[in-house]
Amino acid sequence: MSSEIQERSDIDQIPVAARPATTPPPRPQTWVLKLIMAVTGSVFVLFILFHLAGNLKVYLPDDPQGHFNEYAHWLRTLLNPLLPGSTFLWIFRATLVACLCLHVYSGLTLWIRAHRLRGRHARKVHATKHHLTGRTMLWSGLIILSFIVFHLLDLTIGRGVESKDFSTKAVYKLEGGEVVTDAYSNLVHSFQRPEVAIFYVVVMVVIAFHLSHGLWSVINDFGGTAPRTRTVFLFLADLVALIVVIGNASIPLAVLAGGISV
Amino acid sequence: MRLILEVWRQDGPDAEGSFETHEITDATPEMSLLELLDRLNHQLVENDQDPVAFESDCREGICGTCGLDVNGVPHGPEDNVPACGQHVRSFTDGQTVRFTPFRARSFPVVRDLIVDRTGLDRIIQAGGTISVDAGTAPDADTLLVTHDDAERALDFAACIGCGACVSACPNGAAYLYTGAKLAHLALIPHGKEERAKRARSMIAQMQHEFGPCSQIGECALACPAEIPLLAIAAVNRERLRAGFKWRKPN
Amino acid sequence: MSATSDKQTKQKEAPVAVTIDQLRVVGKPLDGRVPDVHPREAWTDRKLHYNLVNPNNRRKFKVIVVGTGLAGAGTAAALGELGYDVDVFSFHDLPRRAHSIAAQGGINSPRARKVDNDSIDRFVKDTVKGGDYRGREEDAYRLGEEGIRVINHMQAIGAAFAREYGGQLATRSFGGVQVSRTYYTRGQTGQQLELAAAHALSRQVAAGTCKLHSRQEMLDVIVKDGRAQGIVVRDLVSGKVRAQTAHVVILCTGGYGNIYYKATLAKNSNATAIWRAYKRGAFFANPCFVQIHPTALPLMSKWQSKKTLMSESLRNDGRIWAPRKKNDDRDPNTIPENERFYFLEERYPAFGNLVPRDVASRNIRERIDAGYGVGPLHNAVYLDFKTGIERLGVNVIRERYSNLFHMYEELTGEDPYKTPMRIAPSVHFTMGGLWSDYDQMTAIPGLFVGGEAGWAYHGANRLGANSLLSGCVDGWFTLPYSVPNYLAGLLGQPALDPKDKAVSDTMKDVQAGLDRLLDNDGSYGPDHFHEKLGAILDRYASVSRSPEGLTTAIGLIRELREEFWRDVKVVGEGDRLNHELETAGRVADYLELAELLCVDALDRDESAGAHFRTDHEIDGEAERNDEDWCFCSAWQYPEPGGKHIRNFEPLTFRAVPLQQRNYK
Repeated sequence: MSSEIQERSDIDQIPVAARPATTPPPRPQTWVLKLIMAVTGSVFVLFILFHLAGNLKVYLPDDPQGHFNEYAHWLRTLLNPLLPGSTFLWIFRATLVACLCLHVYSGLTLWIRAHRLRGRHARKVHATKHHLTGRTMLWSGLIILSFIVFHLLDLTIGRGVESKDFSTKAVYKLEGGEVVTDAYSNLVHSFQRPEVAIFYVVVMVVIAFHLSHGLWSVINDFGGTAPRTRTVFLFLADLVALIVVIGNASIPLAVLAGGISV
Repeated sequence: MRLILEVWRQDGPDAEGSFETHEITDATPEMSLLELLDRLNHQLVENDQDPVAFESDCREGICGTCGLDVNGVPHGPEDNVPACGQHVRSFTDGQTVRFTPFRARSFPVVRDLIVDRTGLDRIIQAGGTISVDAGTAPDADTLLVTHDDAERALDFAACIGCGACVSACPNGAAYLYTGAKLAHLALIPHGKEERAKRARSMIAQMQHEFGPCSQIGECALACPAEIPLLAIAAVNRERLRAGFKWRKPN
Repeated sequence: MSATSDKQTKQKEAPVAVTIDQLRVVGKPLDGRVPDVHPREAWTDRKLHYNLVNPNNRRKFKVIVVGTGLAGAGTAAALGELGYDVDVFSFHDLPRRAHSIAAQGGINSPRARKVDNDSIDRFVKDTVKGGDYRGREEDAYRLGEEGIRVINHMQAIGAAFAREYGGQLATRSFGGVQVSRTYYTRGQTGQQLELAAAHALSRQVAAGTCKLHSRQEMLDVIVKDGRAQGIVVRDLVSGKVRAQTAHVVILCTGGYGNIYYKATLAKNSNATAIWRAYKRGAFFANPCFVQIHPTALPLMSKWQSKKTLMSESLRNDGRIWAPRKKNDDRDPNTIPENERFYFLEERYPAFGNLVPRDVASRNIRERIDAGYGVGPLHNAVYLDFKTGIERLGVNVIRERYSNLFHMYEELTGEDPYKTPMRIAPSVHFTMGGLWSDYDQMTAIPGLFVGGEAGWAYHGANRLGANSLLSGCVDGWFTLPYSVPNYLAGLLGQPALDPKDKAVSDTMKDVQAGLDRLLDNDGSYGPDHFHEKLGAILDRYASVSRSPEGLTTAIGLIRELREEFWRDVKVVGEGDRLNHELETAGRVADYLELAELLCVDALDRDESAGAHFRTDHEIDGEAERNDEDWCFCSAWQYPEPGGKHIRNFEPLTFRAVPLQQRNYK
């Protein structure tokens, strides 16, 4: 017995607690990814609000079609003549695509990291608001991503899922005399299909979820620790989400109800 | 009171593990959940069975040794209460209560309901300290701290290091824990010199073992020390602040 | 407790009367190696004469620190900072879990900033008088002197002490003193200090100067050539028994209050480390000096796992009372003023609710035993904040005690802002511990002790808020001076070879002890015996002790010890995590220590501090006997079958002349 112990003391060192890692953490670091998500997410929020302002022109009492198409045209030719043709629009689009790629990349990377560190046992869902919105960010994000593709195919490019009356041809004559694409009619024709209208409404709700948690995350990712700022942001996040869902989802509903037509 | 206990049994970190069901017939409402496990173990020992391994020490909510999930919630059904302060009165007669070890990949099971939480300490080792050697401190009254700052620092310093925040988090993140320490040390004047360095090293170590934060907020509901959720923002604040600090080349 | 064993206990109720002379022999006088200067100068003088170790040589000295509480973490960190090669052992998973973390009230320091006439001399007077002249004056001076640096240091390493609105450190007054010298962080002072110390240790762990061994329980000291040269530990996860050798071993393993079964101590706190050191030749000082804390939560049910301390600081703003009628079950708020007996205020007008702990405990116990107890089991008295809230407003009370009130509400379901708290005395702190000289070295050269594991500073009774102080002073500002002095004499000698026979012999002993427990074919778990032991001690060796009771207790303890070895069973295996095995070893040690505790209580034929003998009282007050008992009893482990050996260190008092305590 004693010789056995003696031998053991030779080889068997008392375990020593591990010390912190000496290598740098996996890159890009989590806080960098979160920061990218916050910045690109904020760009999208601004874009969505901007987009919404344009969309709401369909409710203008006097010649909505004219106003809407004029706005669509303005967007294409923004910063003319400083930049020729649709240059700005393409810069705008390129920025959005870059943001989208960064946002999706960061989100997926973070999700994979989080997923790896989840434990084994089942958890009880704590019924908080942020639970519902926060834990579904990946799924709402993927729905929104596929919606963006659908939306572009439906109303911008006109391939695959567009309405049968879709046209990119310049057929609408503005008050100023220019002839432009009739975006308004495309919109109305698309929404006159009930399944598409409902899809748009549902997606808007999903976007609202994504936004309300996303904006709340922004204040955290930017390191906002002042309690009042956080309360304001918490409120703003819900307010913006609500505005977006009410403003945008009402349009397909209005089309379906016959309130908006060509 | 009669309660059915489903307890996770696992021999070691690599063992398979499974649930074991036991019945307690004489539970009383004022028993704490740890006392309920004591009762169970007493019964198991009487029947020559291995008692359930679980950890506890002070049993008054300050040591942070107890750490188990009860029905999938860290510490038990009541928010912001450690397991030793959770009581059988939260359950109804005949109810099934399920005990599992803290859930997080960063907390490997040692045995049954005991997990290895040394990862939390490595975050502190990485830099959650103030580099003042014994005897070299200036008089404590030479650096004034406002009453409110001291109180706020204490709000964060109250962390008991139990790891419930990590178990509560769907991502296995330790933001609340790390943020509490960073916020505490940022509010007191000593060690301000190493604030940026501390943020960089602690947050780097945190990423080695723990997940990213999704701002869901379940950690703050589980935290027995009631660390406010804004501690998670403190992590980002301190890291961003450090990011803009001039960094001494080594 | 089964019916048969109950009957057995009853039969043994009246054992053959034993006299103290049949139990112990008087050994030799001990030298505390205190410098022969005025006590005020002692520490300065001693530091001046300490030998030093060259910084280049420090890495060559291996130091073992057991325990990571305030004393252990402090010692390890400080020695690590100095550059020694430190190995730290803890049975917890993380250093921060040590029970220092649960101290609530505060930490004394005679910084004497206010004009309430505080000073180091007054601190010493309070400490020595509070300890009823059974501790060293010189120790108390060191405590006061270094206590000033402790506050500065702990603040600087992260303890966020409460501050006044002007930004200075806030203080409050605490039981037993009339000045305000207690620094605090809400009701969680121990937590903040322990975290600061554990984090300072973490800094050394990261730097590589301290190696941390967690989940390792120390089970023996390796003594070779009359020096402590290592320890044997059991890996609590794998069950493996291993040894570590070093030049010096420092035990900071806390007190033995859990011997009473249900105390306010953490569940895992135990006496095993110091008891095994005692059995290897260290002396055990004053084991009978056990402090009973007056303000703990009473037991409310059978399965309640322990008593919970409510900080003594509550007595600053709370008033203790019991109904004047026996068994008064009325709602306390409906009991009119004239039917309430504020017994501490009436009996001790000068100190009122702030009398020292032992006085408060005994008075509360007297009320409960006399039938005036309240609560479902009539085992408590009221601690009422109504007057405090009226005087200061609910916000001030909340700021001072919110977490204590919160804890009370969590545990009892009652709101102390509205209903008075129910409190009762409970074992809380042990002034006794390993005997050490002025350098904190035990009777085994090379074995040092710090914090509650030792006997220093507190005499027969500890003042509130002095325990955190003694842990910090030992850890940060005493052992880092005295340990190098010892090491300097070992320069050039390597640490003991791990293959040495002394190492394997000690490991063999430990393994045999574990095997004996595991192989015992009994029918009760160790807890069963612990509960019985607690009942014996509670009845015969608690707030008041009688010679007859103690004699009975010694007989019962011997019975119980035999019963334990006959009938204990340890389920599970030895090669893995096994709480039952850990508990069994601890209970086995308690069963031996309990006898020594009672023998010491029987031997000390006087009342002193927390040790209150019913045959030595004047009008219900403790009657000290300075003629015959002005010394520290330091018990030596006898040869098998021999009588207990009581050595003694005579105590002299120059700065605080001997005088009978009077708090009236």
